[in-house]
Amino acid sequence: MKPPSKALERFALKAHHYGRISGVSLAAHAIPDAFLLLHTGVGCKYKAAAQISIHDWAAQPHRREGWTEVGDGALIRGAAARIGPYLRSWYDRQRPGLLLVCSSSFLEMTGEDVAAATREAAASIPCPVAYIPGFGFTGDLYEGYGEVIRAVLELVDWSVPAQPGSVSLVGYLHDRHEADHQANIHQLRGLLAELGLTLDSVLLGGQPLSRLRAASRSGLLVALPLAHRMVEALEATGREVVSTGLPQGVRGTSLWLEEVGRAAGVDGKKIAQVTSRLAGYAEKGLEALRGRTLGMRSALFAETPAAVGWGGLLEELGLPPRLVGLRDRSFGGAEALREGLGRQGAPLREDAEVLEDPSFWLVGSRLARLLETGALRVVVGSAGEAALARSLAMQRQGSQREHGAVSVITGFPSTGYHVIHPAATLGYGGAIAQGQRLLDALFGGSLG
Amino acid sequence: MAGPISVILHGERDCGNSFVHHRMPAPHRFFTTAITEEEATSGRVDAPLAECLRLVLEETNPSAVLVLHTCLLSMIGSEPQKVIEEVVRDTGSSVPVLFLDTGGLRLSGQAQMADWLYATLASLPQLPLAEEGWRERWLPLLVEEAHLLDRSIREEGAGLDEGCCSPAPLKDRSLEPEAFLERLRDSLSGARRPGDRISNLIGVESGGLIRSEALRVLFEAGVVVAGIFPEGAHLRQWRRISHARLNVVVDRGLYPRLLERLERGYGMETLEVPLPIGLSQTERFYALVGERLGLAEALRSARQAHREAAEAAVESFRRRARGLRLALGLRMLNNYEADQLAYGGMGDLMAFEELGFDITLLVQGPPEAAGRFALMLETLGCKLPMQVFSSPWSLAPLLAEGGFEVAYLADHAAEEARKAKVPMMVSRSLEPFFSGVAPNLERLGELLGLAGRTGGEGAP
Repeated sequence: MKPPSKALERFALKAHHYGRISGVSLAAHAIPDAFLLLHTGVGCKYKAAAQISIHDWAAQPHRREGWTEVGDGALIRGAAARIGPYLRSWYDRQRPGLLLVCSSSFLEMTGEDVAAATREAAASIPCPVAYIPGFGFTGDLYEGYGEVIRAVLELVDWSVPAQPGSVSLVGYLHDRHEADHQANIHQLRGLLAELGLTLDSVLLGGQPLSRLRAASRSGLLVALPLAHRMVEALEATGREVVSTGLPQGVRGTSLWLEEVGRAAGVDGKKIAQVTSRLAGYAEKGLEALRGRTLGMRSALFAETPAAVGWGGLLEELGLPPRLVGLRDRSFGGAEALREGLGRQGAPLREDAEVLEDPSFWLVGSRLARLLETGALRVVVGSAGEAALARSLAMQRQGSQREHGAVSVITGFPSTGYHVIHPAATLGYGGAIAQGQRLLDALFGGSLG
Repeated sequence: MAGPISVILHGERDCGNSFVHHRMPAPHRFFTTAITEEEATSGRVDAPLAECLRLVLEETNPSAVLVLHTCLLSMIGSEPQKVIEEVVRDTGSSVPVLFLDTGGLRLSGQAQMADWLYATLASLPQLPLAEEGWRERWLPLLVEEAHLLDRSIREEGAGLDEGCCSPAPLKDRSLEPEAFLERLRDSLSGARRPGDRISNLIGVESGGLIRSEALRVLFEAGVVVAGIFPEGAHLRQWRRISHARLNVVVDRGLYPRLLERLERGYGMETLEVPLPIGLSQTERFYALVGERLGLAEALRSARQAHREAAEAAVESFRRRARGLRLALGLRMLNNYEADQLAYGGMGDLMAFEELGFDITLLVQGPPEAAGRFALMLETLGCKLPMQVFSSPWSLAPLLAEGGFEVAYLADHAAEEARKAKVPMMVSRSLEPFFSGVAPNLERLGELLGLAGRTGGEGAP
């Protein structure tokens, strides 16, 4: 497969093509008592919900999402007036804890004051109402998701006194209600407890608004990568703020615990004892896999912070990435990836190629080349890259396993991997769990 | 759709995620003009489309290009057709470039949208079919299709990316290639005009069709199936759709535009058949096809064993399930799949009726429209009891109060069914044709807790 020219790559559909509306929808889905009113045309109606519904087998998004049914007639007459009646009607039907209104590009461009219409309607509605513009020209899913976190932060009463040892996480990407996220939060709660800290709220961690508001109890706010862009807003709360990477992989988790522990004033010796003990357990567990992956290489596709986490873990497992595709437009690209991996002491190998926001076509052409040369044993990525790799492998040899390359699905969307047991991606436990998945994929039995 | 077709979405970047790309055979053939805010406000949206289309024509070697529109571009009055004509003229390209005004401001139903798309695909320039020697030219094409199908069956999970139509699957390995060719030659020998004895199947879900006995039964009886439409059909099949004489169509009311093109445009004939789900509808499907093609006896004999097995399974199940209450959801789906839309979403209904269920229809929609829904059902000849519900989350109490033993609802109603403690089967998940009957009943039996329960004399 020949790669597209640079000129055509600009137009080619990106492997991560999800925009702000998708991020808002995902964030609304993460708050079980939120309701999202899309102020859009019919095309946007189920745009994100359709994706989420196949990504999340534990909870359907449809029941907590509506739209203002804007057609050409409404557009001509002025569509913003529809927001009030629809909001009131949905509130009466669903009694949500939080109403979110998200508009789309063409309605924003009519010049109607959607924000004012939402504010006006909110005055007659008993629950909080937040408005998020849904411009589709720029930004990505993570920006839209972050906007909802901002809106939630504004609903927290920061005047209450913080409780000692309480920590809240801001910027956690909770994309489904399956057991992987429950396991992650359980992991992080356990790790913080080892340092004598209590995890209070996770924004957003699948909790209802009342639990998110309990972030006010925390004296320390841990800004995960998705929240780095809102550090100023976090600092304005008067709480201590520490910006970290994702606690992924053994070294990544240790680094995270050190940063959080230090910011919380935990004694350095205690941090070192905890990380050394727990990292030791994890490394011992991963040893079995590492010895069998000598010389194997991987291709990795994830948003930059997760690519740092996965990149570090793959290096630890003896599967260093040969190709990395960064599935975002808002986390700093290749430079941020290299910097993050460097901090973990797991720099990218010299021959590794990094693609920023690549198209499906470009991903396909690079994967095809690596598969052709037999340089690749595992593709870690979303269902999109996994499907592409699978189809390329099949075109070559008739089946993926015959060819020797396997895929492990992670991120959004994940339609071939659903989780009913607590298999984390984060923390030391996450390193073990993902190591197990890789082991199963690489060496597991197959009928193929 | 498989095949070298490229798609350009003319609009802002975010609209690119209106598709579930990872379930598509060729996401790398999708492009977006990624219109910026500045381009939209200044109205300079033609240049990006022209550039994108030119590059797509140059680099992707497409057999066809579709250009789609978005709300924003409709709103500012962009006219892609002019841009397309200019680019095609300037490049001298002979590749068909079709514009579909898909901006979301004009509301229309799923069925209309699907029909519009299929009519558009059928309007693609057709590959030539000369009268002289047409049979001999058809044979290798049909064999090639059969091999492609055979390959996609062997590579389970490969879907139908490589092509999906066939005169008959080779999967049972009952025929050597020479014998297979000979059988095809025999089937076409009685044809008097190009395309005689060759049929397209329209509206049966292709995966289910392939898993079933149907292609083999039809082939054994001498029915040559040239293409399975609409979903899964390869681009080259759309460009040969006019080569068959007959279209065997599930629910002709679903395709007014497509059939206008096929009947009036190409002079093809149409035979309407039921959705072949369950015993009686499958039997009727075969009977109608056999009658129309003058192959009634051959088809009867080819399907006999399959029918008998299905009859036995239905009879046994009916003894155990008679009178059990079943809720069947309507108007709950938001997709464009032909078999799901067929006959107002009631394509499966008869398969449940023949099992003796006491059926209530649960229709999603505004409660004030109940009268209209009742009239629609009456028009379709349906006299079953009906209840209207406004949204999926109001289903749980309805299911619980209704005392239903089982529900057949859209997948997103699963939570509600769980709440109501009513076992649920996902709408349109029944397998088609006779070979689908036993597995369908097995699943239903499991759901109802009937597995292992005897149904009286003669029951297994």
